[in-house]
Amino acid sequence: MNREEPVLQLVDVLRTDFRPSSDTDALNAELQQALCLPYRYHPARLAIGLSLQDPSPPTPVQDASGRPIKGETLFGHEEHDLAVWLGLLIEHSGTHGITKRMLQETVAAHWHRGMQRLWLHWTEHAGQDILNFYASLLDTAGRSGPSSS
Amino acid sequence: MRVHSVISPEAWRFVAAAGAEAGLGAGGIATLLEAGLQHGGEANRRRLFADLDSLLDGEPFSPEAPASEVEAGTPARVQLRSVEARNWSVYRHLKLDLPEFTPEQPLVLIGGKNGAGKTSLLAALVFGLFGYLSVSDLFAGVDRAGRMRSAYRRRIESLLHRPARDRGDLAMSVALSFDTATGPLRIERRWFLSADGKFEDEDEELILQVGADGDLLPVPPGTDPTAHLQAEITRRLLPPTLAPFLFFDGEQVERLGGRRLEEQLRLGVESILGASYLRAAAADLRDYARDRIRDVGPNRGEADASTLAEVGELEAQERDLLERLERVQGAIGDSRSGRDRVMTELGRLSGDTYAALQDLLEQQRRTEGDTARVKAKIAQFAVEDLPVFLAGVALRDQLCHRLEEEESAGALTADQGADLTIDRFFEVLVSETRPSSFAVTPELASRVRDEWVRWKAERSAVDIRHHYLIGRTREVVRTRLRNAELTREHGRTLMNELSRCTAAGVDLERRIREQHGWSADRERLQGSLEELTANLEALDSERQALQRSIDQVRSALEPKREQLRASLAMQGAGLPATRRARRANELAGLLLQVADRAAAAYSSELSAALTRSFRELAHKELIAEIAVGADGRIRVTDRNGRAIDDLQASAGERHVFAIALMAAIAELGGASLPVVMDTPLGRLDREHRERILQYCMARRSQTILLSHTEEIGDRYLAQIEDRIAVQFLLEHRPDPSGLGESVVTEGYFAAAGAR
Repeated sequence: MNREEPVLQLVDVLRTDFRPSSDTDALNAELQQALCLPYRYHPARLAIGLSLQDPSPPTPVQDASGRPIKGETLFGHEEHDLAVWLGLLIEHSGTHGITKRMLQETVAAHWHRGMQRLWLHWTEHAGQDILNFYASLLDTAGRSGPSSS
Repeated sequence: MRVHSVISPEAWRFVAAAGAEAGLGAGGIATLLEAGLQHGGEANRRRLFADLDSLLDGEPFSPEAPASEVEAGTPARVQLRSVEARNWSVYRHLKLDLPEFTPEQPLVLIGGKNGAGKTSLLAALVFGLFGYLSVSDLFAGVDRAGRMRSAYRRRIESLLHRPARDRGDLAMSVALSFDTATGPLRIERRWFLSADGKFEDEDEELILQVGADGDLLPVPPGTDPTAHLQAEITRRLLPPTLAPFLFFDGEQVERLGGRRLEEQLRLGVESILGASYLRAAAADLRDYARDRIRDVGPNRGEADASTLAEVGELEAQERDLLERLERVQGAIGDSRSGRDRVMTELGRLSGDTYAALQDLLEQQRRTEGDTARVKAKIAQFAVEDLPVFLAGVALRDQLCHRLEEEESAGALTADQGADLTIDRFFEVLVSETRPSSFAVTPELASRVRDEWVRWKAERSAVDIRHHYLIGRTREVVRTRLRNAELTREHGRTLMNELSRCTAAGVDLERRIREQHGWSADRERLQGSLEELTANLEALDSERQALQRSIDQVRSALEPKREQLRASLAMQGAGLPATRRARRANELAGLLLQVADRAAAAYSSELSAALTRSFRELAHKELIAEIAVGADGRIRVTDRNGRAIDDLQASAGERHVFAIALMAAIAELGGASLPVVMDTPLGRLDREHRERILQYCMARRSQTILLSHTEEIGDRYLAQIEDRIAVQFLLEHRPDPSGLGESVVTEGYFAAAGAR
């Protein structure tokens, strides 16, 4: 447990900014447009969810210079929504006593990895067809094995 | 007599009857036409006027035409027995011998691909029979300016067989043999071109041989041999005016079929009756009268000449106005038929189709709404359920499992002791501080308890990873994680819904696009309707204006005629020139009357023949009668006497109508004459083709069909094969120079024959 920085509470996440890499930000915008999604956080959530499917830890992102999204937007402002996301992220990371910074870095890494895979789904597996895209995502989930903690 | 070189004996009886009604007599008409035909086409009028001087000075015309002319009208079967041509168009030498006609086998079939010489063969027949009289646009009437001669010369020059010209052989000929009522008749026409390929009128020679021995037909002294022999051809065979109805190609039928019905009929009638010759003779007489009155003297004569000129001018105006009126009436008829068709079409489109379009548009609106709703659900699903689902069942299970473990360790639950401690804490707080507005609500109690548990957990010996999840939140998280698996089914349902909506949308769009095509048709038809209505109004105004002009011309014409008659009568018999002019003037009026009366009488008989032939040829069973009214309009009626307006609906039917008209005119002109048709079936559908072939087989005289294999191929050949007397094939054989020649062999196309 990191004692130098306060241990993260749910309420801390609400006002925290989460930044992707600039590449991820660009792909996020492109996919948002392609899928006709109204907000930036929509593809971001899908990306983070998809990355969490892979039990291996994502590669840390060095350049988190994309446009930020507040925690209450990215994960939802309802306590329970936030709690589910935080639970999944912390469980995947296997970390005890995660701090705000650690969470920001983890989210940036998942966002990046997930967005790369999401883009691949869109362009290659789904042939840029929305119905195929969602169908392939539904197929994908459940194929991965349990993550190691 | 020359008159029979332009009017057949059969048609002549209508002219003669009209002449008798007009008090002129057949003999008078024949004499006047004779004079016109002798010199009427000449630019210098002196010879014509001199002939008319002696005619008008003489005894009154005999009411009867010479007996031999009348007798000549007796129809008898005529058949073509041979065609021989030298250096004629694509043929160096052509020789066709046809068997004697039998009613069982009335057909002669001559095959040839394009360029093999079918049209050249037809031309050999027509030019051989009629010489320069064959050069005129079908029904174009007489070219008084001599253009016919010049066109004929050019045509003859172009018809010389090219290899013959190259080797300096500049003579060509066509010889036709017929069996006629008076025995065999052989017509040979020869043309001689100059070294530079030019042809002059005098370089044509016409020879007629009659009888089994082929005796040369003598030419009476003092007569023009060609004119005399040409009249004999008309008398013994047929006049040139009838030729377009007996010897025709598809192009000719097409040209006639392209005209309005009224126009087709009028042109046919005028042509057969030689009406243009009668009108030309009337114009000659007016010219003559004007000229002679001028000679009377400077005062009265000039005044009368001026009146006569005015009469001539007014008559010309009247004719011109009547022709324009006829055209306008025809156009009104066409516009009315067009308007009726458009309205029928519009009625059809505005009924079921329009309602169906509205229904489809409503369905499309509903489908679009459904699609939008499903897409909104998918967007919500994509942002709420799907991301957590995507994290995968393994991670979700793992988290659930850990949360349960942490709870079972007891570190994250408040025990009864803790609850008592918290209760005691609030009692002390309230009693010691006595705050004015402080109440221990259940929410406050719950939060304090959660903080207590968290504090306790942080100091617990158990490794708590999700210490921030306590109390009810922890339960909700676990429930959501467990339920996430349901997302898959929910997602599938949404995808299926979207798929259905998309497919329905595509289908509707396709159907609406089709309907929009009809809708575009509707707009186009409405545009046409407005245009036609405006056009009709304009035409009707024009018709009324023309009718007023005609009335004005007629009201001006009658007093002038009366004034002229009175003036010429007052000048008495003492002045021969005046007397002759007066008589010429009267005769001109009579000839015009004859032309109109003969046309009316002939039209009536033609209507009956046309009804018969059209019903035979067209598959329009409902047509009972085609009648030509007094106003020249054609009225087509069904069995109940109701008018049928859609006869002109298709080009194919007009084509059939043209052929029916030809058949009717041929029938009136003498069903006993041979008919030669060059690829006449091209545009027709199967049923019409079969009917026309049926008609050919039923004819009581020879029918020669020129055809290519696509026209009369296997199917149609099978239909007529038993009725064919002989078959020939025309083939073009090119030589190294690229020109070559066409030759004829017995038989038909090998492919068609080898069925």
